[in-house]
Formats: sequence, C-alpha cells, structure tokens
Amino acid sequence: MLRGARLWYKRPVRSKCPETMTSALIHTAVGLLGGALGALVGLGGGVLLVPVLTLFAGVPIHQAIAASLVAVVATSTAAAVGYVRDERSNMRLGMTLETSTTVGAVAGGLAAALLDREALCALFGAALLLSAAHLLLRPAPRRREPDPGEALGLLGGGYYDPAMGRVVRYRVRRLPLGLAVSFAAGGLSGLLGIGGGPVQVPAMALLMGVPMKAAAATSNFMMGVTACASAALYYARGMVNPGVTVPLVLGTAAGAWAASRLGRRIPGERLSALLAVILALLALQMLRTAFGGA
Amino acid sequence: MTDPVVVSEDRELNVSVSRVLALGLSAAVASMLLGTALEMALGEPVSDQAVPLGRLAGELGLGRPRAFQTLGILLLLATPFARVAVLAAGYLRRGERRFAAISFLVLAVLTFSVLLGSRG
Repeated sequence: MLRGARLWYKRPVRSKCPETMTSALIHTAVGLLGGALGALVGLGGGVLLVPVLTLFAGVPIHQAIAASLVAVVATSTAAAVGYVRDERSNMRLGMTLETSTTVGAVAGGLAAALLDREALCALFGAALLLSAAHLLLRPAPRRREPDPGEALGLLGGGYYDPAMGRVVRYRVRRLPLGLAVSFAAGGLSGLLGIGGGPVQVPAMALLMGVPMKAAAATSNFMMGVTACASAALYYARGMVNPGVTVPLVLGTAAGAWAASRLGRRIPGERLSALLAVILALLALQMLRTAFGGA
Repeated sequence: MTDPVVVSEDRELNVSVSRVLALGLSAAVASMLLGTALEMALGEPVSDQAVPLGRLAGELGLGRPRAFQTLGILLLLATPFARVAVLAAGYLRRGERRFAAISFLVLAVLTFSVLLGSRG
C-alpha cells in the first residue's frame, strides 16, 4: 500500500523558510485571484490556477493540477453549503450525473499520469480557448417551463428565484446525453484539474433543460465529488505538495468568499470579456510551451 | 440574509448535507491554518510532499507542520465522501432505493479511486 507515495515522499526535495514564505504568499495571491475571478464569472477557479502556477510560479504541471483539484473541492464545498441549504442544487440530478463524472475523473486522473508536460500544456491550451469562447459567446438557452400541476419527473425540481420573485420549475430532458457529457466533464477535471463546471453548466442548461441558476448550483454541488475522485489518485501518487496546495486552497476560498460579497457591484459582462481575453492569452502561452516556443 | 427557499420534502436531508459540508470544510481549514502557523513559528525546512497516510498519525504526534497541513487536505477530500454517504443513508431511510443505489455507486467509484491510487 502507498508504495508510490512513499517513494515520492523520500525524494530529498527541501526548501528553506524564507523561500517557503515567499512561495506561500505567491500561491495565496494566485488562489485569491483564481477564486475571485472564477466565482464572479461562474467558471470555477481551476481554469486560471493551473496555467498561472505553471507558467509564472514555476510549479510542475502535475503538482499544479493536483493543487487545483484540491482547491476545486474547497470552493465547491464552500459554495454548496449555501446552495444545498437553500435547495438551489438539484441533489437527485447531481448524484445521477456524478455516477458518470466520477468514472470520467478517475479515467482522466489515470491518463494524466501517462502524459508529459508538453501534452498536458497542449490540452490545457485547447481547453482554455474553448472556455474563452464560451465566456464570450454564451448562447442563451431556450426552454419551456412546465405548466402548474404538470409532473416534473424523477429528476425535475424547482427553486425560488429572488430576481423573478417566484418559484421556477423544470423537467430534466436528454439524460443519456447528459451522462455522456458528464463523463467528458469528469475526464477533463481529472486530466487538467479544472473542475467540470465549464462543460457541465452549459450542458445542463443547453441540452438538458435545466435553468442556468439551478445548473450552476448543481454543477457546484457535483464538482467537489468529481474533483475528489481524481485528487485522491494524485495524493496517493505523492503529487500533492502542501506547500503549493494549502496556500492555494486558503487563497481560493477567501477569493471566492470576497467575490460573493463584491459580485453584485461589478458588471458581469465586462468582467467576462476581460477574463476571456486573459484566458486566450494564457492559452497561447500554454500552446507555445507545448510546442517548444517557451 | 438567505433567500426564501422552496419548501419541499427534501428539506431535512438538504440541511443535513449542508451541515456535513460546513463541518468538513471548517475542520480542514482549521487544520491547514494550524499547520501553516506551526511552519512559520518553527521555521524549519519542510518536505515538498504531503505526508503519506501510513505515517500521518506518527508525524501528527511529533507536531510536524506538514502533517497538520496534510490532515487538512485529507479532511477536505473526505468531505465529499461524507456528503455522498449521508445522502445514501438518507435516501435509504426514506425508502428511495433508486437514489440510494446511485449514491452507493458513486461511493464505490470514490473508494475505487483511492484504492487504485494506493496501489500506484
């Protein structure tokens, strides 16, 4: 048991305290930024954390992915406390889709161990470009709300929307397609440490007929379990570095908390456009790294 | 102030799950902060790796900062496990066998991932 982890642990990598402090401050700042921006635009922090840690903080990409996964568990858990209590997360739908995201996450975690830095950077660059495009385009979902008294099915639900001042009800459609997309979302999460949100939320909203707010809350509820499935693999393999992970988790949680307080005062569309530009620039840098330009 | 909620039959289960998540997160953050405070106070060189599970209890007993930080990370990773277990038990208690089975399936995949990683 834990043979791989022990071998990794015995490696004589040591650091002195002043360097540790500086690194901890840098990782906390990265977490704050990633947590705040991720929460403000609903992407989750992982999309920013891995490229920034890898490109600018000199963290090996497998350690950055592992740290990001643990941070995703933290932010998902923190957000889910409120979403679940207020019944915005659809737990039955979330659990059903988790049967497929967790299998995908394990497969992604296993695949990541087989891929080298360049291959992971190339995949990450492509994922960042897709996230940037999603932020800029965001097609509006079209859905029909069930009539009052109409059955919602086993997975349907409802939540109170304070902006609309009423309860929004919905049925869930195309479950098999949702399960297939969830597998891909879990795979991306395990492979790149970004959480499944960037794939899961649009899939639920556009393909399955779930209102955007319920989709975001349900995805958040699911993300912790999905990230946990592959984070456990990374830990057992000795790829979780507490010197990176702990400040990142604390920073991300603080950033997401601050964003939840500031969010109402910041215009969401401008922020999304700004983040899309940042993601596109990071994508180009990751692709340059992948193909030997850096 | 929280928003008004949809009052449903799931209310009790939702509150239980929310409490488990809050408890797990608080314990994890407290352990991470303690480890970080010890690291700053002691100022000793530290390993770049998390403490393996087999050594964790011993190193916690020695008051090693990395052990408390690792414990925090593990508590955080255990929180989604606990949440799924609470849901499985809740659905089982209410006779919702389909969702209890789904919850146990997710729990099985999570356990499989830990065992898979442990074998390297």
